[in-house]
Amino acid sequence: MSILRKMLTFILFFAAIPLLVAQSRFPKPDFTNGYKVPQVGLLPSAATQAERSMLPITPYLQYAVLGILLLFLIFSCYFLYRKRSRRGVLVTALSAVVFFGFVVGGCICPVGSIQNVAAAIFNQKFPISPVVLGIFLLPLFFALFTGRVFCGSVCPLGTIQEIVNFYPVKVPPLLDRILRVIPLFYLGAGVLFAATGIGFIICRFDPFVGFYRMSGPFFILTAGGGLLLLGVFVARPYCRYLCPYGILLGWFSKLSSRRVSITPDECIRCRLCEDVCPVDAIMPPSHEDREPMRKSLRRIILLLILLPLTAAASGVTGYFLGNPISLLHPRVELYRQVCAELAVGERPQTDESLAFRSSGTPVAELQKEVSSVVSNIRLGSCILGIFMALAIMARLFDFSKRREQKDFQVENSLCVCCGRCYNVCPREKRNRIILKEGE
Amino acid sequence: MNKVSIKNRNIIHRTALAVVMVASVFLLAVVLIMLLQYRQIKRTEPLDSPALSGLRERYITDERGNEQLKEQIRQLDLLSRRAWFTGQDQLHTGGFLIIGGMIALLTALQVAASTRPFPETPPGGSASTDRAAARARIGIAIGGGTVLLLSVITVFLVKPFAPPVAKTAFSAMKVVNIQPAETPVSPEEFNRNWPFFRGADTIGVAGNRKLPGDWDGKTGKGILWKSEIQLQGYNSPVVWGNRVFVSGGNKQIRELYCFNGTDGKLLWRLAADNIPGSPATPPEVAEDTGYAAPTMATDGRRVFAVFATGDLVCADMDGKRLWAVNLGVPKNHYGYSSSLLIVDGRLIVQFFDENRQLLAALNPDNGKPVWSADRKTSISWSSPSVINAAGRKLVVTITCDAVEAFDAASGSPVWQLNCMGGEVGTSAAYSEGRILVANDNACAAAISAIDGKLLWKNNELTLPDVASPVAFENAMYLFASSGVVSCVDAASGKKLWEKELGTGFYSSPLLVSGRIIVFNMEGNAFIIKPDREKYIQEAAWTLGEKVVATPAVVDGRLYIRTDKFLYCIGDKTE
Repeated sequence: MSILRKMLTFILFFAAIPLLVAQSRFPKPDFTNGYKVPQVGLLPSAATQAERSMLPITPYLQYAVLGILLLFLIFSCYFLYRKRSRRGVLVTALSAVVFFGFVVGGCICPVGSIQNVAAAIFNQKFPISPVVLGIFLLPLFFALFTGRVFCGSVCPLGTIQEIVNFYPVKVPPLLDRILRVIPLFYLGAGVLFAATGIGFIICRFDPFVGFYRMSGPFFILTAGGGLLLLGVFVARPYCRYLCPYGILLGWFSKLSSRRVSITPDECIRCRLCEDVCPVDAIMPPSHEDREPMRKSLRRIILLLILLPLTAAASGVTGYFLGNPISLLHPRVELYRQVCAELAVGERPQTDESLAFRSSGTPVAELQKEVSSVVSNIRLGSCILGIFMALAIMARLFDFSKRREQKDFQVENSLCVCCGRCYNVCPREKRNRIILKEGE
Repeated sequence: MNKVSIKNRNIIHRTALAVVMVASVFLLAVVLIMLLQYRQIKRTEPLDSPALSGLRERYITDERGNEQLKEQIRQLDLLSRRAWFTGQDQLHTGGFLIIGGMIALLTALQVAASTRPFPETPPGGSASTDRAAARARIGIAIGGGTVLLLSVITVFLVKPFAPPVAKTAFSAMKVVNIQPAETPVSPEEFNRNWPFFRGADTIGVAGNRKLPGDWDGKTGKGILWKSEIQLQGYNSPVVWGNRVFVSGGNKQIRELYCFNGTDGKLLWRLAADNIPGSPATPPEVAEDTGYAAPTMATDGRRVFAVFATGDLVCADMDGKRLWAVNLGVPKNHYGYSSSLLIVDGRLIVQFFDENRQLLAALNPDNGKPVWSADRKTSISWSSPSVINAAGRKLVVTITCDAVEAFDAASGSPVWQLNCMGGEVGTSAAYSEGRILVANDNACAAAISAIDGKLLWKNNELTLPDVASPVAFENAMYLFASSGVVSCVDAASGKKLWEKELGTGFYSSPLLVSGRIIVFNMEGNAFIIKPDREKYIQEAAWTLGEKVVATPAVVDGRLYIRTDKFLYCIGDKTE
């Protein structure tokens, strides 16, 4: 496992190098009409105050944010693994809400950075700053060694839900597993939309950024409010049933050898931890009356047979789903608008169509561009379909293999490292009392 | 833990829960008030309130200089602004109250949660690993299946993407050969020729041109030539140099014709066919509109024709098709009949469909739109005119509801006046800053060309429904389908005289060298001296054929089209 882990780490970082190089190889275009492209990375020292104020946060603060993110991750690991302190985790989470939420304004966060990375990989004209890349990779790097500590006490989207989850209730396990498929689709759609230029849907539908900025569309604010209200009872509804970054963190965490150990020593199987875990990440010990090995094997063979069929069916469906998806692309929308206007019969002019007409670009050129966009979306959507099928089948394989565990253990890919289980574990309490009395 | 500490813990827990309740109610109340406030702000536009707009309008139109009214507007404006800013302030304050409430609520919830009774071992046993895994597998399969099913449903429900090129108008055209940019055509050249319906000025005023003298269609006296037009059409001839253009069509085929002005020989004919988007089955049209009612337009380099099918064709002067496009099939119960014209190097097309009324300026080089004005109005069978109002060129159109003016350069609407009614077939006339309109079942009216203000309106006249009016020296002359000729004072709208001539008029009158020439439906031409006092007919000639088109007058020659023939009338010695 450790060799594989190291290999993955290396691959990850080597994969990042071309992105950084791509940025310098493809400089921004020089506009001949005097338009100046707003600076989004580091500004030169000669930049005016007005130029600096155009950025949501100053470029130096962007690097500072990366540094502070690293510090937060280190503190989280310290409180979680070293101190085994739920209170420490909670204080870190509160600080994260204040800093990454209200100070930084919730952007840029690793969740949204998926799209920047996808756009930069698939579109070489899209620049990505080292800070954004760092913000994307850092939590994944930590997940590779320490699990999802980022979710537990650093993520501004997760921590705000953590704070409001006062009366957690259990989601029926079957429903929980059904809903957990959604983030897979959301991740695929987020990558597809960013890669094909449709837009950054993960950011557009970020339910909590409106609270951090104290403004936003009514729908988003309402959805955010609704999720928070739901979050009082159902722990982290966004993290569990929507967050696309959680999927990546889950995959990386699976490779992590370090996991939250519920009890500091011997498990007495009191089931308090299983009951208190807000995300149902604690797996019970294996019973003695296991199902026969032959049955498991038969199931795995069946899944292996189904794998190519499912992938093909999903791929074909995905390809055709590309048609409706392509209607969301701004260039396709513009083309439809222009055609409708020209067809003398459907729509009044929009600002976009007016700008297009003023540019003097022939409609045939737009049509050519749109054809290429639609082909790309169909291909991407086909790949998304195959990805969905493979990911779901991988989950099925995971739950088809025989598990042997003596005690209650956390499932690394699901555990959000909140430390609630520490607080209820009788062995933990006993140890603390002994420690206190010893002092 | 002793009893006292458990008791204290319970008290704290209960207190915290009470705080939770209070904070929740408080938050709910604030959110509710804020929502109502937000709705109020969204609904009302304080600075554009009807009261304020009404006062402003009153001040601008009628009471400019009324200090009391000015002060009243200022007071109301101040109140409106204050109301708007107060609303904003209240929203801001509400935001802070919510933050405060949230802090109290979260703190209380946290305290309540931390002082809850200690957890006890849950009843029952935990599920076996196998059972948990089986449940997980079922959940994953259901989740994945649902996503797949929803995707399939979406694929079937959402119409697949099909590049809508074939359905579009101007983008779908086949550009055969785009001519290089040439020297722009001068206004003098336009004025020398007869490029549009009702002449170069589009309002039927032809300036000083010689009219042919004595002629008779029955005996052939004064008829220089007469040529057959293959296909029928109600459009009028347009003339450039020695070339005369008309179009014709039926359900099967539509064509453009070019005749030699000297001898009437057909120089070329061009079929308007193989146009992308052109309907396989042409729309049904009324018999007296036909498939080629719109008059062609030319700029001396190219010639343009449009048909009831929505096919717009551009050809060069030698009959070579340059481009063609289908504008969309106009749904129009009589048939599409709006004529083309060219303003400042742009081809103006008025598309009238029952669902959409559009005015567009196209680049004559390739048919691409330069601007288009989408209107929410009704259709008509009238043609646009160009009026020069205080140095600004306006494209004036008449629909069955309104008279509208658009800036010729940008297509932006300048004004609109709802004063029409019935089924409008006439176009506008112009006299000294007034746009003059008249149509049966509506009214005769004069409108200020600058701001669209109604100057007068008269419903008690015998009005035309096809022949457009013509104006001369502050008087408007109307030629009705009933055969009544009227003269109306352009300044007041008062009827000056009326004369019954028997046969009605569809052909529009023209003002040529201070005389009005008009054909009635029997093919009799009248030369009328415009006079405010009485009807003065100076001459009358007979063509001997039904005439509904409007003649063209160029170089002492009169070109008139009938159902089957194109006539050239003039002095043989010239």
